[in-house]
Amino acid sequence: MSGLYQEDIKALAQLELAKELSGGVDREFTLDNPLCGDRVRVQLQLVGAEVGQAVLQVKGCILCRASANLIQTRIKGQDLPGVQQIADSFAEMLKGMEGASWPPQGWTALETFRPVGAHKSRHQCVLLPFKAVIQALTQEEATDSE
Amino acid sequence: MAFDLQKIRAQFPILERQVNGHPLCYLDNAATTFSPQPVLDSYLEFETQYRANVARGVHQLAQEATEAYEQARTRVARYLNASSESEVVFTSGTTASMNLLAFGLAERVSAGDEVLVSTLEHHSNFLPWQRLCETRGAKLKLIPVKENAELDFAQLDALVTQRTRIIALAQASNVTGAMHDLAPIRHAADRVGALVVVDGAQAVSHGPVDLQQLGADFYAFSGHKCFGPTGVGVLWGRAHLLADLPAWLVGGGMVERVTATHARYLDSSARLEAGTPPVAQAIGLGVALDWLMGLPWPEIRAHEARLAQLLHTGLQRIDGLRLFGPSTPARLPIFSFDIDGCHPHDLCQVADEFGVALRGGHHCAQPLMDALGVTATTRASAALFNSEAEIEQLLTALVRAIEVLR
Repeated sequence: MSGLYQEDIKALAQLELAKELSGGVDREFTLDNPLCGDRVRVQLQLVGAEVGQAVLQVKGCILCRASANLIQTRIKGQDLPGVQQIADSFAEMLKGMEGASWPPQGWTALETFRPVGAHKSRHQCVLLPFKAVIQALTQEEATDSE
Repeated sequence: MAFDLQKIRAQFPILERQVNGHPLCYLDNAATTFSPQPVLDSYLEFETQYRANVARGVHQLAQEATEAYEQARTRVARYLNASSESEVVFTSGTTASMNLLAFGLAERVSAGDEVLVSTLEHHSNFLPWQRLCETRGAKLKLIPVKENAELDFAQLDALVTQRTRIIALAQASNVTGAMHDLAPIRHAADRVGALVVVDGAQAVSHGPVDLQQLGADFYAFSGHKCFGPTGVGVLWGRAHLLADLPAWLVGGGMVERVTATHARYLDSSARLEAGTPPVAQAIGLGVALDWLMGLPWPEIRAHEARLAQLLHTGLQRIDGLRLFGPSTPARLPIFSFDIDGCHPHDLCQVADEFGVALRGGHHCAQPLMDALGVTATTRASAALFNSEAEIEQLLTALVRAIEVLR
């Protein structure tokens, strides 16, 4: 087997995390992968420009769920440039082109997704949750994309 | 010609491939089929013997290319049992055919008029009509689906009104494999004077079409879905209706006369084939359809029915599997399903590890996915060259995939 569905990734995908924010929603965005039907819904609570709390709900494959769950457990304290930088770094790693600063501080768990690199058609599955968070952070108000 | 599956398979060199150490088990034919050797040979012959533009030059190669291109048109007409090859227009595929048609029929649709499609249409037979309605101020109505994804034809009479101008429907669903009886559609359309547009993309590879019986005013399909090349398709239309379609694309090859201020377009269906056509591809499509015409269809249909039966029975035995589509195996061998705890993308990925090519996603049928309450399904679609052993290979791969994923 290719190692895509190793226990670490499956465990991440199966994490039971909060499905609702405890408090108000400051930013919200739903993003679809037009090719495969994966759907990520992001709700964020902000502290200034930083994420205070996040909930990511996924209708999608194991890889997408695993990535979303990782983000939900790690993203507190990140602002838009920070998330963008992590996402860009992640995308480079998947292409086998990670820089000397890999992995981003506090995000060593992204190494779990290294086997995804060999499957270009699956890169979007693990990047979609990051893109959804970035879109949510660039919204001026809490609006649902749908 | 007697039916010999091994002889048929031997005509598809790609079936010799190994994938991830396993024999290729290709079950993504609803997306695209393979081409048999005669079609492959036709490309090489065109490129090495008579490559030229068509309907333009007088030199020998141009004459030969033109004759081969028009022979392809005749072959298409024969496969469809069309009244004349002049009713056959080459396009780049079903999507282009439907867009050409929606553009050409726009004047027939006014504000307040209605266009009827179904919830399970492929986007290529959905979006052109949706856009037509948006631009013309018309209403797009949908034949709904039942819970199992079968069309609910009981609502047809209520949906078709005096304002209905066009009814566009798939002959067969690319998601569920259901073949649709078009007689009620024709009857309802005749009641109100509506046109019937049929998407034949999925049905055309499963046997010759009889347009004299089908009840369509227009029919479209893609070459690559019936063992022909990519980049070519067909729009068939009744002669008098084609004659009324305005040119969609304008350019070379479709004019009588062009001046600095005016153009006079051809009266014939050549008006609808602007620019250099997909010559090699059209010739290849003609060869593919000729090849299909020569097959023993009673035996082929029995073989495909057997494959559908094996798929239907085998899939239903899998714990947690929800099958979409007709409850009987009497359908094309196209099956979409959902398995508890296993996303289609993951299922397809693991199946690929065992050499099995499936499709996971929305299949360009998002309104259907919405109606079914899913974002994606897994689809297995067999063709006449698939074997019963390959169905077993699929079922084994699915069981293994479930073990890995759950």
